Amino acid sequence: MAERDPGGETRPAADEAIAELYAAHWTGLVRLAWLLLRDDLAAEEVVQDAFIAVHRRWDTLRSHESAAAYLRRAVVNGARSGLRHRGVEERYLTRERAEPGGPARRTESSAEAHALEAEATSSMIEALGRLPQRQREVLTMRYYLDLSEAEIADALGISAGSVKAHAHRGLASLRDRVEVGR
Amino acid sequence: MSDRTDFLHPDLEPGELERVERRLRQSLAHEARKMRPGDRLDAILQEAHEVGPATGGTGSRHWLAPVAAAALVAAIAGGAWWATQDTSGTPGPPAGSPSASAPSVTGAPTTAPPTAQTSPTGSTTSGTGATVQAALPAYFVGPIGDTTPTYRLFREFVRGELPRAATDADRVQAALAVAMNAQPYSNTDGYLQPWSGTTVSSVKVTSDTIQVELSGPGAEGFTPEVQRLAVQELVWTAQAALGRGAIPVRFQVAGGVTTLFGSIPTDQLFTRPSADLSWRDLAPIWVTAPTRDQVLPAGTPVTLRGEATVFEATLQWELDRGTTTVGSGTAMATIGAPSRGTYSVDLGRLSAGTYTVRVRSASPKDGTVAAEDSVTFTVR
Repeated sequence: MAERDPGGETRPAADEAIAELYAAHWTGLVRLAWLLLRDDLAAEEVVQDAFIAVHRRWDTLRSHESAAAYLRRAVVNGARSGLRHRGVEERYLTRERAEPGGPARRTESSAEAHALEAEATSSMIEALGRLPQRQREVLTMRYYLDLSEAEIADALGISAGSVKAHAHRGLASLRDRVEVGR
Repeated sequence: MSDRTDFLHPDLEPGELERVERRLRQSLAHEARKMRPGDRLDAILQEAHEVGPATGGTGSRHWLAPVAAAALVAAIAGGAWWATQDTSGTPGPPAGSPSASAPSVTGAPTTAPPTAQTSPTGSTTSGTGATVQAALPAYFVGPIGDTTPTYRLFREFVRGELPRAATDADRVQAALAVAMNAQPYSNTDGYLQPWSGTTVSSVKVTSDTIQVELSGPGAEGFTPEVQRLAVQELVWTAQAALGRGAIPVRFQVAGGVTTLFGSIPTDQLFTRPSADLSWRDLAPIWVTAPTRDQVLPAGTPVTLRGEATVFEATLQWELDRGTTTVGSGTAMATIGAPSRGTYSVDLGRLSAGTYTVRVRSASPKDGTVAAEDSVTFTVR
């Protein structure tokens, strides 16, 4: 890792803010982007671009909260345009089926994962991948990042009521598509 | 919950969606763990400065040259770079890296001292007469570095003398004696001394139990949680010193006393928790290398290593020489909480001086320090 130049004149406020935001949100947002995009490098790039944009706008964002909200918007939009441009969406399902253990370049050894859990996960994730994009976004933000309806509404630029409706429709479809074991 | 289940699907019962919600949440968490984000903080800062503020302009940023060069190398080297960082969870897991400490994801104590500890003299050589030097594992109850403060266990390897023909029981007893004497660390690390005034009278090791006889029930004035941890520190220490896994421990207190600390009955077997529950006992972050006050030769690359049970496996580190910060960055443990992972960071070649390296994790809620461990070492 690079050493900091102690005598360098920097934009310390923005740098520090980015370092803090990075510590708090980098992993979660990259994984969010990855869940939406299913492409490791693209996921990291989308989130990296979002952080760079926050750094540039730090003078107007100023607070951790508004920067976090900005990051989420940028990541969701970035993931979307990534999907549009690369047609990743179709590859997603093919790849899920081809490699049930998971696609990524840096996938973790699933040694610790119980087989049953892995199976349940892959059927749920596959069903999620078949939902309309908006429902998938809402459900992923809600149930992976635990964001509130207001935060999701803000990130997606839609109303809280729509978030609710997408979440509900999505959950109902998942329920229909995945055998809810009992 | 009810506000999300009151429309669109009148045929669904509320409980049914809750079950889907729960399964979706678990699936997403499980799925997300497959992706191990690389570390891009340096690249982000470098590019942000390159681009300049939103108002435009690519001002002079001569001071950035070293950072830019480093980031450029990182960008070019791509996957290879991440692999050597040992922090990004490449398929060949970092736990398999040469001298990563043995516990890796299991959270079990190492049965042998880490290589770093053995550098000054071999761990079982240089014996004089009837004794040999050995690095003994000892656990201590210390503050994890949050503001509360919360207490958990830290492991140290402490050099001790053992009879040349030491039995398992001798080794366990010697390690327990070290663990029960936290005094050398109480000022520097804030380790508690719940066993102050207590000694180990004897240790008996059988195939399925470690029997420990104590001279007393422990010191007074500790909270129930610290009392529990104080018992666990002896359990972890005894099991680590024996090195045969989680062999249950039975305590006996002299004078017919039937409790430890007046509250924990001795008529039971104690053991360390299973790997997925190790967080109950172990501090979230340990630095295991460099070791405390270690002296390293200048010009040799220094590697920071440790174990961590932290949210999203994300750690920040900072290297200070004296009062100057000379390096910082983020690192990923091999696995996130609740599992215990290992991490390592290449600190590079350091010039002579006294250094302190701090590793911390941020609270996912508000970014405050949730846990921190640090170690001071010397390069010369």
